[in-house]
Amino acid sequence: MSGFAGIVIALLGAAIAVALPGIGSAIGVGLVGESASGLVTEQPERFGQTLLLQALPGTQGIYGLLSGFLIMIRIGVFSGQLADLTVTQGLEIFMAAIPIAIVGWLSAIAQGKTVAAGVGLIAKRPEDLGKVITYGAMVETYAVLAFLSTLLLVRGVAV
Amino acid sequence: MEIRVNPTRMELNRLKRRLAMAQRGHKLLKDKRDELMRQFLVLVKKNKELREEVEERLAGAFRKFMLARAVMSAEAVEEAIMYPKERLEVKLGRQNIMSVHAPKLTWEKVSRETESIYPYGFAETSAELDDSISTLAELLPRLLELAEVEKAVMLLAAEIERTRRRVNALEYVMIPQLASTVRYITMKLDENERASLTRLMKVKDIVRAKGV
Amino acid sequence: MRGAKTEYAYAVARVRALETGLLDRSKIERMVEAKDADEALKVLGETPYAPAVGQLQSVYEYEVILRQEIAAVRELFRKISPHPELTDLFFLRYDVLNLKLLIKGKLLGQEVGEFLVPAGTIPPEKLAAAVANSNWKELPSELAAAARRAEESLAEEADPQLVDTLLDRAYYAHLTRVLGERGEEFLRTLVSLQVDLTNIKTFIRVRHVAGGDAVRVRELLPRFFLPGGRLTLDYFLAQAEEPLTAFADRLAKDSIGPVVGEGVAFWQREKSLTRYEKLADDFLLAYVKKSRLIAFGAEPLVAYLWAKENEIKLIRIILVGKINGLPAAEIRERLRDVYA
Repeated sequence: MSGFAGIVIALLGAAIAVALPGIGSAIGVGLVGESASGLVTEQPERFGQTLLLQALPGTQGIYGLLSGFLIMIRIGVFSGQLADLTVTQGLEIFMAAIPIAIVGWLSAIAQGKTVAAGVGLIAKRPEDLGKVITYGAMVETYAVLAFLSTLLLVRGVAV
Repeated sequence: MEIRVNPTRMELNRLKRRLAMAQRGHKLLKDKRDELMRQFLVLVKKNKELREEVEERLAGAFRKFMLARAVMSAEAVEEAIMYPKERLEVKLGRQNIMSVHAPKLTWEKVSRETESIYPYGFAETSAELDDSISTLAELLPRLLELAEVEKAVMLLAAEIERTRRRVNALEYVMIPQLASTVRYITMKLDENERASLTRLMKVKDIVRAKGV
Repeated sequence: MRGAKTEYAYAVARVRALETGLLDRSKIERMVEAKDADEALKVLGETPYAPAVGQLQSVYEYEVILRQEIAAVRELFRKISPHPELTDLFFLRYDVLNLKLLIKGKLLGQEVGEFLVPAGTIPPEKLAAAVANSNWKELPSELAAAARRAEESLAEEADPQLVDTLLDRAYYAHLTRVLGERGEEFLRTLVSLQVDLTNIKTFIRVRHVAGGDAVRVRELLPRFFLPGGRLTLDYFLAQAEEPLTAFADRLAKDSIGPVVGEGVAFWQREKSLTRYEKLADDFLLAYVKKSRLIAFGAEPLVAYLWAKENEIKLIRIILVGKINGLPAAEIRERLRDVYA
């Protein structure tokens, strides 16, 4: 009985690790998409530039997915033999998922806003595309840090 | 050029009276003409001054209006001034200058006493419009005055022309004609007298010769 | 970024892209340097105004282009803004103008159709019908009340000024109230700065009309005073006796201080508010430019409208100046800053 509760909590961790950054990325990418279409309506030749920008907030979703996979591998979802986890172990894995879930989620939205605002900037000065990407990358840093800590935490949990 | 008349003494007397009258009339008309000229020159001078002043200030007002027009849209300017705030009632009277009836304009505001002359609010109008409107408002009495003086000048000029023509007619036609006719009649009468004298002398001679 | 209004993402990006089409300093400068109105118009024809300029028969029809421009901006905002009723507040100004024209026209028995601006929130024909029937239902409450009062008082008092002052006051009261209710702080401040600058100008104009008679200033000012500013009516009334320089000095530390200081100094030298009007417009434009810091919201849209209105003012000053043979220096004296 205790093993069952443990695995459920661990799976919940995997789920939020994928879902929350995914939602965040969707919102972020959507936001940049809206901005980009505003710009492209007036200046169709900017499509390439804006597509690059739109991809930026999408990375959090990928980090989330990777984290989720990692957890699933750890708890033996793919080997067909679910590990027998105690509640404590399940909670540990859940906790390990928290950094990427929350930071991925919120940073994707924040990055979306930053880059969407940047679309306004490149509307005036196309040569500033690099700057906008840099601003977006600054937000990306924290998503990477969270992803890293989730990675280490998942590896650290003794199953 | 004399008038065809019967060279009688009665006619002579009549013509002499007419001549005297024509000469008196000529003198009077000449005086009138001189006085008209004097008045005319005074008015013309006043007219010139007024016109120059009005023209200069009008040009200024139009310039300011143009500047206001530059910073306000056509609709906004139209809206601001379409409804006049002040109403002026102008009455047409007469004044007598040397028996020339010139118009005399008097005017008064019929609108109630208001605080400002501007018919518009200050929120959506440029201050450049104020200058233009106030200059035009100050200028209106001068404009009316100018109209009055200018009309008087025109009427006086016509009157002077008429008087001058009459003076000339008297001086160069009437008086010489009368004078020459008088001279003609006098000569004719003298001639007649001499003729009858000669006739008498001739008759006397015949009578004397027959009587011998 | 309170409650980030990300629903504006599309609209803002589009407006930012459109801003690149605004005339820049060098285009304006070339128009000023043009030797006559036709040449200035030719320069305008090389800008995004080209299609409209092409349709003109002569330079004297320039007002047509300018009118269409604002109407086009409103059309655009109605399409792209998630809250068009908010940006419509700033187009309501044109309804107020139309309303004034129609009410005055109605009482004079004069046709004003040709002057109605199609940039308002209510189509001119509809507004004309409403005024003809004295039916004010379409208007916001403040304006409806003011329109009713304006019509009544004009009918009995024949003071056309009342129409303007009542409607202007109602418009700013409405604008201030709605922006306050919606928590649009940036726009609310913009309007309050505009109202302050207008009220200061009115204060100077009223003092001039009153000819130094403080009692008359106190009597007149409340008629023209607009609500919604930071400076209250009492603030002005208390300074009716004081010289204008003292009034300007008192405001020196405020953000509008430099405008008032220089404007008043110029007024006292030249008895002209030209400089003040220019500085006030530039000040508001500079404030509006700060909307560049706002990534999402109605602010960049209003800023674009503001920039467009400013640009139209510039074009008008240049073209009217050129048509009337005004020297370039005098045109420059009146030219506002450019947004771009």
